[in-house]
Amino acid sequence: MTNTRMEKHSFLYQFESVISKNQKLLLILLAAFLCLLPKGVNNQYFLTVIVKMAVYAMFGLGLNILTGYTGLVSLGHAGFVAIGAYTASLCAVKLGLSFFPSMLLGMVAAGLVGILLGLPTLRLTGTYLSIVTLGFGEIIKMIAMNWSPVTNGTLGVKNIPKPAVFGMKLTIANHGLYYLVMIILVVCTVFCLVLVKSKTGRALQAIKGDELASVMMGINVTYYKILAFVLSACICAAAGALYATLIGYVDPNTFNFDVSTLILSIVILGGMGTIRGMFLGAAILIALPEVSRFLMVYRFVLYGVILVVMMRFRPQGILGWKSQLPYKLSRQVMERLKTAETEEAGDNG
Amino acid sequence: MLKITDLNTHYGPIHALKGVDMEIGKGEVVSLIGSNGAGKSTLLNTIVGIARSSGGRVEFMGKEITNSPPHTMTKLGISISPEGREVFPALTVEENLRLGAYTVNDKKKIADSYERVYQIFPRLKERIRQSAGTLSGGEQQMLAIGRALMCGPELLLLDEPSLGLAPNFVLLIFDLIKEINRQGVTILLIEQNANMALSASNRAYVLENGKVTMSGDAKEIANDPRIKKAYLGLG
Repeated sequence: MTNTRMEKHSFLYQFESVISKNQKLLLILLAAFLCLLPKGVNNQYFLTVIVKMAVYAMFGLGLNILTGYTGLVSLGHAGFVAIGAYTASLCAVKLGLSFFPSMLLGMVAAGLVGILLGLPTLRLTGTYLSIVTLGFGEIIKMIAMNWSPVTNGTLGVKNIPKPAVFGMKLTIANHGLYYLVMIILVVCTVFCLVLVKSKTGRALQAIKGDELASVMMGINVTYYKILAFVLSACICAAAGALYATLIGYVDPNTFNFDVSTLILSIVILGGMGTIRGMFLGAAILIALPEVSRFLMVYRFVLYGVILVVMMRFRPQGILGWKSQLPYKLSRQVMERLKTAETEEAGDNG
Repeated sequence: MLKITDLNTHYGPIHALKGVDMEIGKGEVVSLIGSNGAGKSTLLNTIVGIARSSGGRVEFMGKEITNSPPHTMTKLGISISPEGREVFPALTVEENLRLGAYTVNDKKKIADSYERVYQIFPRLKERIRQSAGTLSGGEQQMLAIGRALMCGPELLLLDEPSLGLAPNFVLLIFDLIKEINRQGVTILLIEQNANMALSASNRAYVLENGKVTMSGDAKEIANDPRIKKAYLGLG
């Protein structure tokens, strides 16, 4: 009893219960805030940073499926971003396709490569897998650099068109691009939330917990590991396509190892295996270099210091707490529990 | 129900199972005893397909299942509670149980399985919302067995259910094993605690260096002077 009473008084418990009670109101407020944000601050630089945060949050969401929920650490996710960005921009520039089909093609391409990269994971885990993904990231970069007839080599792809809806070009200046990115981010987030709660999500978390035991539960580990790679790659590729159209130019160095580490840092800093963490992680790691511009070259030192301090004092990530609220049982389970209890009471009496 | 003929398994150059024959009939509790490294866990792993056999046959209900992939076992009706418990520590007890019913799609069947598990293990019902990592060793063992029951198996394979448990929990677990058997589940029990295993089962096999050296009625084996000396610490 004392234990439960203590939990109820903990800050986290109170915080979480307030949030869960006012969930709808908070969501409406957040949506209203995001809708009105560009009207309120009509500053292009500021909006670009916000959009960049949203895109990086999507990178984080993508990697989180793999690293946070399935327990496979990838050091080469910039590779998937690059595939999405290059495929989408080349389709737009060379074939004249509009944004959405290009983005979908980018996702398909990344998904197919995701299957290929997923195959070695059947035998590799932990550090060894990370090294493979690291190599994968570099290979993609090299292909982008040397496959000149298609990728235009080191010169990169220039003049990537902005997405257009009903003939209207969406840019940061007319807020169109901001809304587009936000809508896609919301779709991604909802997808991740549903996935985590689904049977598939439970299988992924089981694989992270214990692979052998998952097999014994009848979970086809091979299939789900590859599925995690594919989903992760698709989300990152979609975000990559958005990134390319946002910046307007991609070259092989846009997606180097630094980007992979940045994505992984977002996941770890925000809180592995949480959805909420990805937004905070992206916000901090994208805002930091911007707000600390006055430090000039030393700002990346600050960046490093923050990561080191984080790992020392909060290794589970800033928002990486485990919910303190009582675990919600499904209605069916609750009913069965009740019938079992009344039967027991009957037996005793 | 389960018929094993001349089963061989190699780990690289090591010949771990050297032609094992075994048969389990419906409704039985059969125990497999043997010392460390005798091949007990290898035999279990070969039955469910985690380890590949290099020769021989495994038949379940008249169907050959030799070297079938391990994730297909629950669909066939074979469930395993692995050695060292292997619950999912980060997930709640309820989520662990729900994973046990992963291959079952009928919601009513799942609900019935829940009820059955709560009835056999009331302790799990009390802990339903807790994450499995916070349970005691005995409770985790109950969870592992309960989880294995969630898919409604015909045959339950238990690998060292008494491993690392307090003596009173060992007694409790063996009582519960008998109770599960009474509900119609055939059980293959792998144990180092030969005394308890023999008292709980109908028949037994003794495995030594990858070979079955003795088999028969559990009581007879328990009274055999060699077994008394080697495994029961008597004589």
